[in-house]
Amino acid sequence: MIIRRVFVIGGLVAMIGVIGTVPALADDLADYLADAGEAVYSGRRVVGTTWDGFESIGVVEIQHLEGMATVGSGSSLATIGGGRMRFDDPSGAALSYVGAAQVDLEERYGVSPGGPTEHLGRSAHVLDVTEAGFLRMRIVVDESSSAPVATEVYALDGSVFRYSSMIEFSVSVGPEMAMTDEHPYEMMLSVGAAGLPIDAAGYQLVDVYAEPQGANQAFYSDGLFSFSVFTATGHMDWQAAIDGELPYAVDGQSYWRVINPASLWVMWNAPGTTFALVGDLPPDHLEAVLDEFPKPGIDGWMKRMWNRLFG
Amino acid sequence: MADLIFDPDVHGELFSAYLDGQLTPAEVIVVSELLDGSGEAIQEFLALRRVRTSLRLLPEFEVPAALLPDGHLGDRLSAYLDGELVTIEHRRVTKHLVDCSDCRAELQELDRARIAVRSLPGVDTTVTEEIAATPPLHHGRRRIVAGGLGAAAAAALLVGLAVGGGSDPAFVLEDLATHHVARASAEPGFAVLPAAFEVSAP
Repeated sequence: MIIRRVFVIGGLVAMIGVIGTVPALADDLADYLADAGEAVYSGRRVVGTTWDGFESIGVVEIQHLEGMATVGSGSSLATIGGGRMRFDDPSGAALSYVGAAQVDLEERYGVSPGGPTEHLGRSAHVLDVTEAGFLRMRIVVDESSSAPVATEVYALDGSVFRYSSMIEFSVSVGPEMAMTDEHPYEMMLSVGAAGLPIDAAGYQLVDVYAEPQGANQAFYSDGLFSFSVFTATGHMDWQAAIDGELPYAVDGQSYWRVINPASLWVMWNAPGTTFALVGDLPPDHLEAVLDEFPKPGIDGWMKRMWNRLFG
Repeated sequence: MADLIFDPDVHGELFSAYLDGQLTPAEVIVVSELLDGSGEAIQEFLALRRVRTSLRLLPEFEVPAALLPDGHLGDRLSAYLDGELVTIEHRRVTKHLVDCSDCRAELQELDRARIAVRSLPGVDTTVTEEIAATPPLHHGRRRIVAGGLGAAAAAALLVGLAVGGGSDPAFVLEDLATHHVARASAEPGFAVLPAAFEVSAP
Protein backbone atom coordinates (compact mmCIF):
# COMPACT_ATOMS: atom_id res chain seq x y z
CA MET A 1 0.00 0.00 0.00
CA ILE A 2 2.85 2.34 0.88
CA ILE A 3 4.48 1.78 -2.51
CA ARG A 4 1.19 2.39 -4.30
CA ARG A 5 0.70 5.65 -2.47
CA VAL A 6 4.22 6.74 -3.26
CA PHE A 7 3.33 6.14 -6.89
CA VAL A 8 0.21 8.24 -6.55
CA ILE A 9 1.93 11.10 -4.79
CA GLY A 10 4.97 10.90 -7.07
CA GLY A 11 2.68 10.73 -10.04
CA LEU A 12 0.75 13.74 -8.86
CA VAL A 13 3.93 15.79 -8.76
CA ALA A 14 5.01 14.44 -12.13
CA MET A 15 1.65 15.16 -13.72
CA ILE A 16 1.59 18.73 -12.44
CA GLY A 17 5.08 19.19 -13.79
CA VAL A 18 4.37 17.65 -17.17
CA ILE A 19 0.89 18.76 -18.11
CA GLY A 20 0.10 21.42 -15.57
CA THR A 21 -3.59 20.67 -15.20
CA VAL A 22 -5.82 17.62 -15.03
CA PRO A 23 -8.22 17.50 -17.99
CA ALA A 24 -11.85 18.01 -17.04
CA LEU A 25 -13.29 15.84 -19.81
CA ALA A 26 -11.99 12.91 -21.75
CA ASP A 27 -11.26 14.12 -25.27
CA ASP A 28 -11.36 10.80 -27.08
CA LEU A 29 -13.32 7.61 -26.82
CA ALA A 30 -10.52 5.52 -25.38
CA ASP A 31 -9.96 8.08 -22.63
CA TYR A 32 -13.63 8.17 -21.79
CA LEU A 33 -13.96 4.39 -21.72
CA ALA A 34 -10.97 4.25 -19.38
CA ASP A 35 -12.68 6.82 -17.13
CA ALA A 36 -15.98 4.92 -17.25
CA GLY A 37 -14.17 1.69 -16.42
CA GLU A 38 -12.81 3.30 -13.25
CA ALA A 39 -16.08 4.98 -12.25
CA VAL A 40 -17.54 4.33 -8.82
CA TYR A 41 -21.33 4.07 -8.72
CA SER A 42 -24.28 1.90 -7.89
CA GLY A 43 -27.99 1.78 -8.55
CA ARG A 44 -30.56 0.15 -10.77
CA ARG A 45 -30.34 0.03 -14.52
CA VAL A 46 -33.03 -0.67 -17.09
CA VAL A 47 -31.78 -2.25 -20.30
CA GLY A 48 -33.70 -3.01 -23.46
CA THR A 49 -33.29 -4.08 -27.06
CA THR A 50 -35.76 -3.37 -29.85
CA TRP A 51 -35.31 -5.20 -33.11
CA ASP A 52 -37.69 -6.05 -35.94
CA GLY A 53 -40.70 -5.37 -33.73
CA PHE A 54 -39.45 -7.52 -30.88
CA GLU A 55 -38.60 -5.92 -27.57
CA SER A 56 -36.75 -7.37 -24.62
CA ILE A 57 -36.42 -5.37 -21.42
CA GLY A 58 -35.11 -5.98 -17.93
CA VAL A 59 -33.88 -4.27 -14.79
CA VAL A 60 -30.76 -5.12 -12.85
CA GLU A 61 -29.02 -3.87 -9.74
CA ILE A 62 -25.44 -2.84 -10.31
CA GLN A 63 -22.45 -1.76 -8.26
CA HIS A 64 -19.34 -0.63 -10.10
CA LEU A 65 -15.87 -0.09 -8.67
CA GLU A 66 -12.46 -0.09 -10.30
CA GLY A 67 -13.48 -1.91 -13.47
CA MET A 68 -15.46 -4.57 -11.61
CA ALA A 69 -19.26 -4.67 -11.72
CA THR A 70 -21.49 -6.68 -9.44
CA VAL A 71 -24.82 -7.31 -11.11
CA GLY A 72 -27.95 -9.20 -10.19
CA SER A 73 -30.72 -8.88 -7.70
CA GLY A 74 -30.90 -9.64 -3.98
CA SER A 75 -28.71 -12.61 -3.13
CA SER A 76 -28.31 -13.53 -6.78
CA LEU A 77 -25.07 -11.83 -7.75
CA ALA A 78 -22.21 -12.13 -10.19
CA THR A 79 -19.06 -10.00 -10.21
CA ILE A 80 -17.59 -9.28 -13.62
CA GLY A 81 -14.69 -7.27 -15.04
CA GLY A 82 -11.22 -7.40 -16.53
CA GLY A 83 -11.85 -10.77 -18.15
CA ARG A 84 -12.99 -12.31 -14.89
CA MET A 85 -16.35 -13.47 -13.62
CA ARG A 86 -17.31 -15.06 -10.36
CA PHE A 87 -20.62 -16.07 -8.91
CA ASP A 88 -21.22 -15.00 -5.35
CA ASP A 89 -23.10 -18.17 -4.47
CA PRO A 90 -22.25 -21.45 -2.73
CA SER A 91 -20.84 -22.95 -5.96
CA GLY A 92 -18.16 -20.27 -5.96
CA ALA A 93 -17.77 -20.79 -9.70
CA ALA A 94 -15.22 -18.39 -11.15
CA LEU A 95 -13.74 -17.94 -14.58
CA SER A 96 -10.71 -15.95 -15.70
CA TYR A 97 -9.69 -15.25 -19.30
CA VAL A 98 -6.16 -14.61 -20.41
CA GLY A 99 -6.60 -12.16 -23.26
CA ALA A 100 -3.69 -9.98 -24.11
CA ALA A 101 -4.58 -8.42 -27.47
CA GLN A 102 -6.33 -5.07 -27.57
CA VAL A 103 -8.21 -3.71 -30.56
CA ASP A 104 -7.77 -0.07 -31.55
CA LEU A 105 -11.36 1.17 -31.43
CA GLU A 106 -10.41 4.54 -32.90
CA GLU A 107 -9.87 2.90 -36.27
CA ARG A 108 -13.63 2.66 -36.51
CA TYR A 109 -15.14 5.13 -34.06
CA GLY A 110 -14.87 8.80 -33.30
CA VAL A 111 -16.40 10.85 -30.53
CA SER A 112 -17.77 14.37 -30.30
CA PRO A 113 -19.25 16.30 -27.39
CA GLY A 114 -23.03 16.59 -27.48
CA GLY A 115 -23.44 19.29 -24.86
CA PRO A 116 -24.58 19.43 -21.24
CA THR A 117 -27.66 17.66 -19.94
CA GLU A 118 -29.13 16.20 -16.77
CA HIS A 119 -29.90 12.68 -15.66
CA LEU A 120 -31.85 11.97 -12.48
CA GLY A 121 -31.35 15.60 -11.55
CA ARG A 122 -27.58 15.33 -11.77
CA SER A 123 -25.28 17.27 -14.05
CA ALA A 124 -24.22 15.26 -17.06
CA HIS A 125 -22.92 15.68 -20.57
CA VAL A 126 -23.50 13.88 -23.83
CA LEU A 127 -20.90 12.03 -25.89
CA ASP A 128 -21.78 11.09 -29.44
CA VAL A 129 -19.92 8.11 -30.85
CA THR A 130 -19.76 8.17 -34.62
CA GLU A 131 -18.89 5.52 -37.16
CA ALA A 132 -17.99 6.85 -40.62
CA GLY A 133 -19.98 9.99 -39.87
CA PHE A 134 -23.03 8.03 -38.70
CA LEU A 135 -24.25 8.41 -35.11
CA ARG A 136 -23.75 4.92 -33.70
CA MET A 137 -24.05 5.55 -29.99
CA ARG A 138 -25.00 8.30 -27.57
CA ILE A 139 -23.68 8.17 -24.04
CA VAL A 140 -24.89 10.36 -21.19
CA VAL A 141 -22.00 10.74 -18.78
CA ASP A 142 -22.52 11.67 -15.15
CA GLU A 143 -20.39 14.75 -14.53
CA SER A 144 -19.03 13.92 -11.11
CA SER A 145 -18.41 10.20 -11.48
CA SER A 146 -17.86 9.68 -15.25
CA ALA A 147 -20.38 6.84 -15.04
CA PRO A 148 -22.40 6.08 -18.19
CA VAL A 149 -25.86 6.81 -16.78
CA ALA A 150 -27.65 6.31 -20.09
CA THR A 151 -26.71 4.89 -23.48
CA GLU A 152 -28.44 4.47 -26.80
CA VAL A 153 -27.12 2.33 -29.66
CA TYR A 154 -28.54 3.14 -33.07
CA ALA A 155 -29.34 0.90 -36.00
CA LEU A 156 -28.43 1.95 -39.50
CA ASP A 157 -31.88 3.50 -40.05
CA GLY A 158 -31.32 5.79 -37.07
CA SER A 159 -33.72 3.96 -34.77
CA VAL A 160 -32.72 3.06 -31.22
CA PHE A 161 -31.65 -0.56 -31.20
CA ARG A 162 -30.51 -0.85 -27.59
CA TYR A 163 -30.78 1.47 -24.63
CA SER A 164 -29.83 1.48 -21.00
CA SER A 165 -30.58 3.97 -18.29
CA MET A 166 -29.84 4.22 -14.59
CA ILE A 167 -33.17 4.65 -12.81
CA GLU A 168 -31.55 4.89 -9.39
CA PHE A 169 -28.04 6.23 -9.02
CA SER A 170 -25.47 6.86 -6.31
CA VAL A 171 -21.76 7.63 -6.48
CA SER A 172 -21.03 5.15 -3.72
CA VAL A 173 -20.86 1.39 -3.48
CA GLY A 174 -21.37 -1.12 -0.69
CA PRO A 175 -18.45 -2.13 1.52
CA GLU A 176 -18.34 -5.60 -0.03
CA MET A 177 -17.08 -4.12 -3.30
CA ALA A 178 -13.84 -3.07 -1.64
CA MET A 179 -13.07 -6.51 -0.28
CA THR A 180 -10.31 -8.54 -1.85
CA ASP A 181 -11.54 -11.67 -3.57
CA GLU A 182 -9.60 -14.86 -3.07
CA HIS A 183 -11.61 -17.21 -5.25
CA PRO A 184 -9.87 -19.96 -7.17
CA TYR A 185 -10.47 -19.15 -10.83
CA GLU A 186 -10.75 -21.53 -13.73
CA MET A 187 -8.31 -20.11 -16.26
CA MET A 188 -9.14 -19.86 -19.94
CA LEU A 189 -6.06 -19.71 -22.16
CA SER A 190 -6.00 -18.91 -25.84
CA VAL A 191 -5.42 -22.00 -27.96
CA GLY A 192 -4.60 -20.45 -31.32
CA ALA A 193 -6.41 -20.47 -34.63
CA ALA A 194 -9.86 -21.92 -35.18
CA GLY A 195 -10.14 -21.85 -38.96
CA LEU A 196 -12.40 -18.82 -38.74
CA PRO A 197 -12.02 -15.37 -40.33
CA ILE A 198 -9.24 -13.24 -38.83
CA ASP A 199 -11.23 -10.14 -39.67
CA ALA A 200 -15.02 -10.25 -39.88
CA ALA A 201 -16.55 -7.02 -41.17
CA GLY A 202 -14.27 -4.83 -39.06
CA TYR A 203 -14.22 -7.13 -36.04
CA GLN A 204 -10.87 -8.70 -35.27
CA LEU A 205 -10.44 -12.24 -34.11
CA VAL A 206 -8.75 -11.56 -30.77
CA ASP A 207 -8.53 -14.96 -29.09
CA VAL A 208 -9.74 -18.53 -29.44
CA TYR A 209 -10.48 -20.67 -26.40
CA ALA A 210 -11.29 -24.36 -26.00
CA GLU A 211 -14.61 -25.10 -24.34
CA PRO A 212 -14.85 -28.12 -22.02
CA GLN A 213 -17.28 -30.08 -24.21
CA GLY A 214 -15.07 -29.98 -27.27
CA ALA A 215 -16.46 -26.73 -28.61
CA ASN A 216 -14.38 -23.63 -29.37
CA GLN A 217 -14.99 -20.01 -28.48
CA ALA A 218 -13.65 -17.46 -30.94
CA PHE A 219 -13.79 -13.94 -29.50
CA TYR A 220 -14.11 -10.97 -31.86
CA SER A 221 -14.04 -7.27 -31.02
CA ASP A 222 -13.90 -3.90 -32.73
CA GLY A 223 -12.98 -2.26 -29.42
CA LEU A 224 -16.51 -1.14 -28.67
CA PHE A 225 -18.82 -4.02 -29.55
CA SER A 226 -17.88 -7.66 -29.34
CA PHE A 227 -19.16 -11.15 -30.00
CA SER A 228 -18.12 -14.74 -29.49
CA VAL A 229 -18.67 -17.47 -32.06
CA PHE A 230 -18.98 -20.89 -30.47
CA THR A 231 -18.44 -23.81 -32.80
CA ALA A 232 -18.77 -27.56 -32.39
CA THR A 233 -18.64 -30.52 -34.70
CA GLY A 234 -22.03 -31.89 -35.71
CA HIS A 235 -25.34 -30.16 -35.97
CA MET A 236 -27.99 -28.93 -33.57
CA ASP A 237 -31.71 -29.14 -34.17
CA TRP A 238 -32.21 -25.48 -33.37
CA GLN A 239 -35.83 -25.44 -34.46
CA ALA A 240 -36.70 -28.13 -31.96
CA ALA A 241 -34.50 -26.59 -29.32
CA ILE A 242 -35.94 -23.09 -29.40
CA ASP A 243 -39.44 -22.69 -28.10
CA GLY A 244 -40.98 -19.48 -29.39
CA GLU A 245 -38.59 -19.59 -32.32
CA LEU A 246 -37.46 -16.43 -34.05
CA PRO A 247 -36.32 -17.26 -37.54
CA TYR A 248 -33.92 -14.75 -39.01
CA ALA A 249 -33.09 -14.41 -42.68
CA VAL A 250 -29.97 -12.68 -44.00
CA ASP A 251 -29.29 -12.61 -47.74
CA GLY A 252 -31.64 -15.49 -48.28
CA GLN A 253 -29.96 -17.62 -45.60
CA SER A 254 -31.97 -18.90 -42.62
CA TYR A 255 -30.75 -18.55 -39.06
CA TRP A 256 -32.34 -18.67 -35.61
CA ARG A 257 -32.06 -15.88 -33.13
CA VAL A 258 -32.78 -14.97 -29.54
CA ILE A 259 -33.15 -11.35 -28.49
CA ASN A 260 -32.14 -10.55 -24.92
CA PRO A 261 -32.09 -7.13 -23.27
CA ALA A 262 -28.34 -6.68 -23.73
CA SER A 263 -27.32 -9.30 -26.27
CA LEU A 264 -28.27 -11.18 -29.40
CA TRP A 265 -27.87 -14.85 -30.10
CA VAL A 266 -27.77 -16.20 -33.63
CA MET A 267 -27.56 -19.93 -34.26
CA TRP A 268 -27.16 -22.01 -37.39
CA ASN A 269 -25.78 -25.23 -38.80
CA ALA A 270 -23.22 -25.25 -41.57
CA PRO A 271 -21.90 -28.44 -43.15
CA GLY A 272 -20.18 -30.42 -40.40
CA THR A 273 -20.31 -27.63 -37.82
CA THR A 274 -22.87 -25.91 -35.65
CA PHE A 275 -22.50 -22.24 -34.77
CA ALA A 276 -23.78 -20.01 -31.98
CA LEU A 277 -22.94 -16.31 -32.09
CA VAL A 278 -23.42 -14.37 -28.85
CA GLY A 279 -22.74 -10.64 -28.72
CA ASP A 280 -23.89 -7.07 -28.41
CA LEU A 281 -23.25 -5.84 -31.94
CA PRO A 282 -25.92 -3.82 -33.79
CA PRO A 283 -28.01 -5.45 -36.54
CA ASP A 284 -26.17 -4.02 -39.56
CA HIS A 285 -22.85 -5.13 -38.10
CA LEU A 286 -24.35 -8.54 -37.42
CA GLU A 287 -25.50 -8.99 -40.99
CA ALA A 288 -22.07 -8.04 -42.33
CA VAL A 289 -20.39 -10.39 -39.86
CA LEU A 290 -22.61 -13.35 -40.75
CA ASP A 291 -21.61 -12.89 -44.36
CA GLU A 292 -18.02 -13.73 -43.37
CA PHE A 293 -18.85 -17.07 -41.79
CA PRO A 294 -19.85 -20.40 -43.34
CA LYS A 295 -23.44 -20.24 -44.54
CA PRO A 296 -26.29 -22.34 -43.18
CA GLY A 297 -26.67 -25.74 -44.75
CA ILE A 298 -26.20 -29.40 -43.97
CA ASP A 299 -24.10 -32.21 -45.34
CA GLY A 300 -25.55 -34.50 -47.95
CA TRP A 301 -27.02 -37.79 -46.75
CA MET A 302 -23.96 -39.75 -47.89
CA LYS A 303 -21.59 -37.59 -45.89
CA ARG A 304 -23.86 -37.74 -42.87
CA MET A 305 -23.91 -41.52 -43.10
CA TRP A 306 -20.14 -41.62 -43.52
CA ASN A 307 -19.68 -39.41 -40.47
CA ARG A 308 -22.06 -41.57 -38.46
CA LEU A 309 -20.24 -44.75 -39.42
CA PHE A 310 -16.66 -43.56 -39.23
CA GLY A 311 -16.79 -40.43 -37.14
CA MET B 1 -23.68 11.62 7.74
CA ALA B 2 -24.42 15.24 8.49
CA ASP B 3 -21.59 15.34 11.04
CA LEU B 4 -19.01 14.20 8.54
CA ILE B 5 -17.18 17.19 7.03
CA PHE B 6 -14.69 16.69 4.26
CA ASP B 7 -11.14 17.68 5.08
CA PRO B 8 -8.65 17.16 2.21
CA ASP B 9 -5.74 16.68 4.59
CA VAL B 10 -7.53 14.05 6.61
CA HIS B 11 -9.52 12.26 3.94
CA GLY B 12 -7.18 12.42 0.94
CA GLU B 13 -5.27 9.41 2.18
CA LEU B 14 -8.54 7.60 2.74
CA PHE B 15 -9.53 8.18 -0.88
CA SER B 16 -6.20 6.86 -2.07
CA ALA B 17 -6.61 3.69 -0.06
CA TYR B 18 -10.21 3.41 -1.29
CA LEU B 19 -9.04 3.49 -4.89
CA ASP B 20 -6.53 0.80 -4.02
CA GLY B 21 -9.31 -1.37 -2.60
CA GLN B 22 -7.54 -1.50 0.73
CA LEU B 23 -10.07 -0.11 3.17
CA THR B 24 -11.93 -1.91 5.86
CA PRO B 25 -15.71 -2.07 5.39
CA ALA B 26 -16.16 0.63 8.04
CA GLU B 27 -13.75 2.95 6.22
CA VAL B 28 -15.53 2.33 2.93
CA ILE B 29 -18.76 3.51 4.52
CA VAL B 30 -17.01 6.72 5.60
CA VAL B 31 -15.81 7.30 2.05
CA SER B 32 -19.26 6.58 0.65
CA GLU B 33 -20.82 9.10 2.99
CA LEU B 34 -18.24 11.72 2.12
CA LEU B 35 -18.89 11.23 -1.60
CA ASP B 36 -22.62 11.41 -1.08
CA GLY B 37 -22.50 14.56 1.01
CA SER B 38 -19.80 16.84 -0.36
CA GLY B 39 -19.18 18.28 -3.78
CA GLU B 40 -15.66 19.18 -2.70
CA ALA B 41 -15.05 15.56 -1.73
CA ILE B 42 -16.29 14.38 -5.12
CA GLN B 43 -13.99 16.80 -6.90
CA GLU B 44 -11.03 15.72 -4.80
CA PHE B 45 -11.88 12.09 -5.40
CA LEU B 46 -12.21 12.59 -9.15
CA ALA B 47 -8.94 14.50 -9.37
CA LEU B 48 -7.15 11.72 -7.54
CA ARG B 49 -8.76 9.09 -9.75
CA ARG B 50 -7.78 10.93 -12.94
CA VAL B 51 -4.20 11.18 -11.78
CA ARG B 52 -4.27 7.52 -10.95
CA THR B 53 -5.68 6.65 -14.37
CA SER B 54 -3.11 8.85 -16.07
CA LEU B 55 -0.36 7.19 -14.11
CA ARG B 56 -1.39 3.86 -15.46
CA LEU B 57 -0.85 5.16 -18.97
CA LEU B 58 2.70 6.22 -18.23
CA PRO B 59 5.09 3.52 -19.46
CA GLU B 60 7.47 3.86 -16.55
CA PHE B 61 4.69 3.02 -14.12
CA GLU B 62 3.03 0.21 -16.03
CA VAL B 63 5.27 -2.48 -14.66
CA PRO B 64 6.10 -1.98 -10.99
CA ALA B 65 9.66 -3.22 -11.31
CA ALA B 66 10.22 -2.92 -7.58
CA LEU B 67 7.60 -5.59 -7.10
CA LEU B 68 8.78 -7.86 -9.89
CA PRO B 69 12.30 -9.28 -9.59
CA ASP B 70 14.24 -8.81 -12.88
CA GLY B 71 11.10 -7.27 -14.38
CA HIS B 72 9.48 -10.61 -15.21
CA LEU B 73 6.71 -12.57 -13.62
CA GLY B 74 8.60 -15.69 -12.56
CA ASP B 75 6.72 -17.77 -10.02
CA ARG B 76 3.67 -15.57 -10.36
CA LEU B 77 2.91 -17.23 -13.67
CA SER B 78 2.14 -20.47 -11.90
CA ALA B 79 -0.22 -18.77 -9.48
CA TYR B 80 -1.74 -16.88 -12.41
CA LEU B 81 -2.32 -20.11 -14.29
CA ASP B 82 -3.91 -21.63 -11.22
CA GLY B 83 -6.26 -18.68 -10.90
CA GLU B 84 -4.92 -18.00 -7.44
CA LEU B 85 -4.09 -14.32 -7.80
CA VAL B 86 -6.43 -11.79 -6.29
CA THR B 87 -8.05 -9.51 -8.83
CA ILE B 88 -5.81 -6.49 -8.26
CA GLU B 89 -2.70 -8.63 -8.76
CA HIS B 90 -4.32 -10.45 -11.68
CA ARG B 91 -4.80 -7.17 -13.51
CA ARG B 92 -1.19 -6.19 -12.96
CA VAL B 93 0.05 -9.52 -14.27
CA THR B 94 -2.31 -9.42 -17.25
CA LYS B 95 -1.06 -5.94 -18.09
CA HIS B 96 2.51 -7.17 -17.97
CA LEU B 97 1.66 -10.10 -20.26
CA VAL B 98 0.36 -7.68 -22.89
CA ASP B 99 3.82 -6.16 -23.27
CA CYS B 100 6.14 -9.03 -22.44
CA SER B 101 6.53 -11.73 -25.08
CA ASP B 102 9.00 -13.62 -22.87
CA CYS B 103 6.44 -14.03 -20.11
CA ARG B 104 3.71 -14.92 -22.60
CA ALA B 105 5.91 -17.65 -24.04
CA GLU B 106 6.73 -18.90 -20.55
CA LEU B 107 3.04 -18.95 -19.68
CA GLN B 108 2.22 -21.02 -22.76
CA GLU B 109 5.08 -23.38 -21.99
CA LEU B 110 3.89 -23.79 -18.43
CA ASP B 111 0.36 -24.45 -19.62
CA ARG B 112 1.53 -27.05 -22.12
CA ALA B 113 3.44 -28.82 -19.38
CA ARG B 114 0.39 -28.88 -17.17
CA ILE B 115 -1.81 -30.23 -19.91
CA ALA B 116 0.74 -32.98 -20.50
CA VAL B 117 0.75 -33.89 -16.81
CA ARG B 118 -3.03 -33.96 -16.68
CA SER B 119 -3.23 -36.20 -19.71
CA LEU B 120 -1.00 -38.88 -18.16
CA PRO B 121 -3.06 -41.98 -17.32
CA GLY B 122 -3.36 -43.05 -13.72
CA VAL B 123 -1.45 -40.14 -12.27
CA ASP B 124 -2.78 -39.09 -8.92
CA THR B 125 -0.86 -35.97 -7.98
CA THR B 126 -1.64 -32.88 -6.02
CA VAL B 127 -2.33 -31.23 -9.35
CA THR B 128 -5.26 -33.51 -10.00
CA GLU B 129 -6.45 -33.00 -6.45
CA GLU B 130 -6.45 -29.29 -7.02
CA ILE B 131 -8.44 -29.74 -10.18
CA ALA B 132 -10.96 -31.90 -8.40
CA ALA B 133 -11.27 -29.31 -5.65
CA THR B 134 -11.98 -26.51 -8.09
CA PRO B 135 -15.68 -25.69 -8.07
CA PRO B 136 -17.19 -27.12 -11.25
CA LEU B 137 -18.18 -24.35 -13.60
CA HIS B 138 -20.73 -26.29 -15.54
CA HIS B 139 -22.94 -27.78 -12.91
CA GLY B 140 -26.24 -26.28 -12.03
CA ARG B 141 -28.18 -23.69 -13.94
CA ARG B 142 -27.30 -20.03 -14.10
CA ARG B 143 -30.10 -17.64 -14.51
CA ILE B 144 -30.16 -15.15 -17.30
CA VAL B 145 -31.45 -11.96 -15.73
CA ALA B 146 -33.91 -10.61 -18.17
CA GLY B 147 -37.46 -9.56 -18.53
CA GLY B 148 -40.09 -9.87 -21.18
CA LEU B 149 -39.56 -11.80 -24.37
CA GLY B 150 -35.81 -12.07 -23.97
CA ALA B 151 -36.00 -13.97 -20.70
CA ALA B 152 -38.73 -16.22 -21.97
CA ALA B 153 -36.89 -16.98 -25.17
CA ALA B 154 -33.59 -17.59 -23.41
CA ALA B 155 -35.18 -19.82 -20.80
CA ALA B 156 -36.95 -21.78 -23.48
CA LEU B 157 -33.68 -22.11 -25.31
CA LEU B 158 -31.95 -23.60 -22.29
CA VAL B 159 -34.72 -26.07 -21.66
CA GLY B 160 -34.95 -26.93 -25.32
CA LEU B 161 -31.25 -27.65 -25.55
CA ALA B 162 -31.41 -29.87 -22.54
CA VAL B 163 -33.80 -32.17 -24.39
CA GLY B 164 -32.26 -31.74 -27.81
CA GLY B 165 -31.31 -35.22 -28.93
CA GLY B 166 -29.84 -37.16 -31.78
CA SER B 167 -26.38 -36.18 -32.90
CA ASP B 168 -26.49 -32.77 -31.27
CA PRO B 169 -23.09 -31.50 -30.18
CA ALA B 170 -22.54 -30.88 -26.50
CA PHE B 171 -23.34 -27.18 -26.35
CA VAL B 172 -24.33 -25.86 -22.95
CA LEU B 173 -25.82 -22.57 -23.99
CA GLU B 174 -26.14 -21.15 -20.53
CA ASP B 175 -22.36 -21.38 -20.27
CA LEU B 176 -21.89 -19.71 -23.63
CA ALA B 177 -23.45 -16.49 -22.34
CA THR B 178 -21.29 -16.64 -19.22
CA HIS B 179 -18.15 -17.26 -21.20
CA HIS B 180 -18.81 -14.51 -23.71
CA VAL B 181 -19.55 -11.90 -21.06
CA ALA B 182 -16.53 -12.91 -18.97
CA ARG B 183 -14.21 -12.47 -21.95
CA ALA B 184 -15.94 -9.32 -23.16
CA SER B 185 -15.45 -7.72 -19.75
CA ALA B 186 -11.76 -7.25 -20.60
CA GLU B 187 -12.65 -4.97 -23.53
CA PRO B 188 -12.88 -1.17 -23.27
CA GLY B 189 -16.48 -1.12 -24.52
CA PHE B 190 -17.61 -3.17 -21.54
CA ALA B 191 -17.60 0.04 -19.50
CA VAL B 192 -20.54 1.50 -21.43
CA LEU B 193 -22.35 -1.52 -22.88
CA PRO B 194 -24.52 -3.44 -20.42
CA ALA B 195 -23.39 -6.94 -21.41
CA ALA B 196 -22.93 -7.82 -17.75
CA PHE B 197 -26.68 -7.57 -17.50
CA GLU B 198 -27.09 -10.98 -19.08
CA VAL B 199 -25.45 -12.99 -16.38
CA SER B 200 -26.23 -13.52 -12.77
CA ALA B 201 -26.06 -16.23 -10.18
CA PRO B 202 -28.62 -19.04 -9.82
